[in-house]
Amino acid sequence: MMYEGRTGTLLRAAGGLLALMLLAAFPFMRFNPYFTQLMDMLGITLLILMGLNLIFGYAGQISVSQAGFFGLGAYTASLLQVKMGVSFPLALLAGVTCPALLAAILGTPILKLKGYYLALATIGLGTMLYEAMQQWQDMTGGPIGVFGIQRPPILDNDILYYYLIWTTAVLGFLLCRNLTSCAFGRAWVAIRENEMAAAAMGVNAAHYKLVAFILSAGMAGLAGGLYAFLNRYISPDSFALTYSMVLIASMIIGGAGTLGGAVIGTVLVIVLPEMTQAFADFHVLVFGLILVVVLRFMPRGIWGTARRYWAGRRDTTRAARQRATGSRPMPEATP
Amino acid sequence: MSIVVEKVTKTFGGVTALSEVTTEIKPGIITSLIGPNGAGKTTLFNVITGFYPPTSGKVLLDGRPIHSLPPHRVAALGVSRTFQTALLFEEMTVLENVLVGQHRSLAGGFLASALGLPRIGRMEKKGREEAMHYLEFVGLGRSAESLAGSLPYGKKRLLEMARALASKPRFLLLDEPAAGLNNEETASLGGLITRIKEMGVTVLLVEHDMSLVMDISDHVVVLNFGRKLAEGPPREVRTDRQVIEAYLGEED
Amino acid sequence: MFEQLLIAGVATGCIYALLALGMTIIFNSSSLVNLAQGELLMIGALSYVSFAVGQKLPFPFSLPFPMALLLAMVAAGAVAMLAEWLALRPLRVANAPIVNAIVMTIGLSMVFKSGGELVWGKMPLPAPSPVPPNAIWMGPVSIAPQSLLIVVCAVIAMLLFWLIFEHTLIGRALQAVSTNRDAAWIMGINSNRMVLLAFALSGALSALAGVLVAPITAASPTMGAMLGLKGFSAAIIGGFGSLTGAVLGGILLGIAETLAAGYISSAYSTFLCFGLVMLILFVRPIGLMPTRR
Repeated sequence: MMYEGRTGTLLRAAGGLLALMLLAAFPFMRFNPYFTQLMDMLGITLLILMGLNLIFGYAGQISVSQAGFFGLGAYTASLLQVKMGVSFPLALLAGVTCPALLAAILGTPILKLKGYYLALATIGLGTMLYEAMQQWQDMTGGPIGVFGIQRPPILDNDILYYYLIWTTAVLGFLLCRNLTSCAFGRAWVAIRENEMAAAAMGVNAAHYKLVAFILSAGMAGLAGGLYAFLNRYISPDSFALTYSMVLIASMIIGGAGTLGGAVIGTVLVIVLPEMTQAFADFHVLVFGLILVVVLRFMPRGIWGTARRYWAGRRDTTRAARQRATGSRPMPEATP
Repeated sequence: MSIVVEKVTKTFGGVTALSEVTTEIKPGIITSLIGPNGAGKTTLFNVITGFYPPTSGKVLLDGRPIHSLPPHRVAALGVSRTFQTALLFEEMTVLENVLVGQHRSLAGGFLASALGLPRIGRMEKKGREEAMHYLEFVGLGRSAESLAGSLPYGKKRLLEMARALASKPRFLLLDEPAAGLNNEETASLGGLITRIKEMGVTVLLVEHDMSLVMDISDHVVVLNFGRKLAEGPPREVRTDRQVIEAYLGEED
Repeated sequence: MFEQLLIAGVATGCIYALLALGMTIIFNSSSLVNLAQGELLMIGALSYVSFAVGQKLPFPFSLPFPMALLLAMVAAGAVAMLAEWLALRPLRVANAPIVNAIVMTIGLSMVFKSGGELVWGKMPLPAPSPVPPNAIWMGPVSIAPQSLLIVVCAVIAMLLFWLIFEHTLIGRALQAVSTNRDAAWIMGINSNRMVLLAFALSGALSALAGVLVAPITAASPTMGAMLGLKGFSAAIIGGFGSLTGAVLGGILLGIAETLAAGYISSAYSTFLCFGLVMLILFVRPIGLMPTRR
């Protein structure tokens, strides 16, 4: 936090309000379908990244299965609608529940693993989901994907759908902010920093890891449902392992374990491919290079490093002030 | 009201770290666990706090067996500990570290936390005030907003103690709290531990610093090669034949 | 049918074994899991195609198999060393948390894969092989000569590697660094140089795997991802950190996967493969041959 106390809260509230107003006004400022689509994807990706931030950024458990959960949500919601005529709200709900349930069931054995074993297990999970999307042609249509997804008539209006996406994204953001600024958030960071010490302080690590995992899966699933009804068409290509890697990369670049980092990461994921139109996967190269450089020189990411810098400045000024008013002794000469 | 260690044996592969150790940690006093390096002191700590299950034997708290409970459950029963190397949450502030110590009382339930209900905010505020008290108790009041990782070593150890105290334990287990401290810091640590005892917390400490042990302990247990060698008041133990032999050349 | 599948499985297994071996060598010397191992295979395969057939190179190349293979191994080894020196060593030296190292190799895999697309394009390129494509008949069983080549080359490579590792000074130095880096340093072994060597060897072995598998699957920038993951799985099945385990795990995984594809379903072979891997991770993550660590 850059400023403490009342000033800080006021500033943050003002900033949040401004952002909300801009978001609400956006469709009327520049109604261009291209930009609206971009903003839609921004909202959807924000949901995915905030979920990833909980399990990976805060709790420190490397999860390379986010794209899989995203896809599972998308397919569940769209297949229910297309094949069984389930209504939009129920389909969306199923899109959230299905990945969340999977995470709840598999989470316990998966999260017992650590480090690269955990990475491999989540890669395996994501790959199995992707393969199911590709191979189970009777159900999912295979590589062709699912066509003809229909929104309820009111939501055929793109502006209204934009508001739906962003309301959901903002609610998701508030959820994450609430959880991370209380004992939950501290428990997660404690687990990441030192699981043994966290346990010694009474934190049930397995429980908190599982909660984060389920939340991340649920949010990705919700994003998937919204995504499916946005484009009215989905195919397995959007849910491959590469996307999980891009998500992890942008999380780190933005600043894992910080809310601001999730936002920056989201912007990166959406904007970078647009800027690097050179050839289809060129943005992956750029992501990879930025990731390598960031890990090497500022592993806390953009937002994380900025916050540390401000905190350091604040500490130095406070220390100087304390010395000046005599409430802190001058540093002693080292013995 | 006490912790009873009953014939605890712990083997790792072919190595026997503890062998039929039996003792009782009586409430309200300071007990020190001493012994040459490798005697099994930290292993015993780990068994009591649930980090290792004993190969055989039992650990009872108020008559209830706790040796098969995971560490967080043992902690919830009022047994807190510090570690040989201060295991802090480096990327959190000093204050936040202590707040984790208060986790049991601050954890507010998922729905309430997710919705950001005012009750959670009130709990947090109270929690922070309490955390400041603990920090001031150990002398870290001014460092509350500093990053835990940036503290000098001595202060890190104090922070670990503050964090452990914040969980309002009945039993506080300190693993070599004086390691790396100079004489002045050790003396001040002794005063701190005595004040903790006066607050009603039972203290069990593993220590190598004999002057500290003899100074503040009410009861001393000696381990060697995983076996209990002797136990009793400090004066008795220091003159015990076997203890002297075990320590030949090690006393400072 | 069964013998057929078995042989194909052993050949596939050799590819996985070479990858697993490469990852284990890197892990033992620098405690790092290289999730970009598959991309080293890919670089080897595509370089080989360039050297053997002159693809994507400014001048016409047409080298015979041994030369092209050697150059491909050198290329991949060089890339591996460069990656270690520039990206991974600083993390190791700074004692960064392990998550950072894992993600760093993920980043490297992204760079290599897209870099490969930049250089060689997205389309799969056919790779020539020194053996004829027609199957040989041994009794009732037909064997693809490529499978034989794979097994023979893999065995030779592993034997050579074992010889170097156990019987040369530099191999012993590598062992020392793997077992105890500080003790090795005291004895005057420069662990940084040993780690570079480990990466070079690892890259070369993966390149060999790439050259051997490319004639069957065609060489493309995306070929490394799945193979790399399976190599990793094989190393874990065999017991991560054990060289023998890597080889065993590779062969076993290759056989299991081929049999599953033959008897259960070939479309779902990857699905089943990872299902098996996850099961093993849940039940016995230390693998078949627990390391001495």
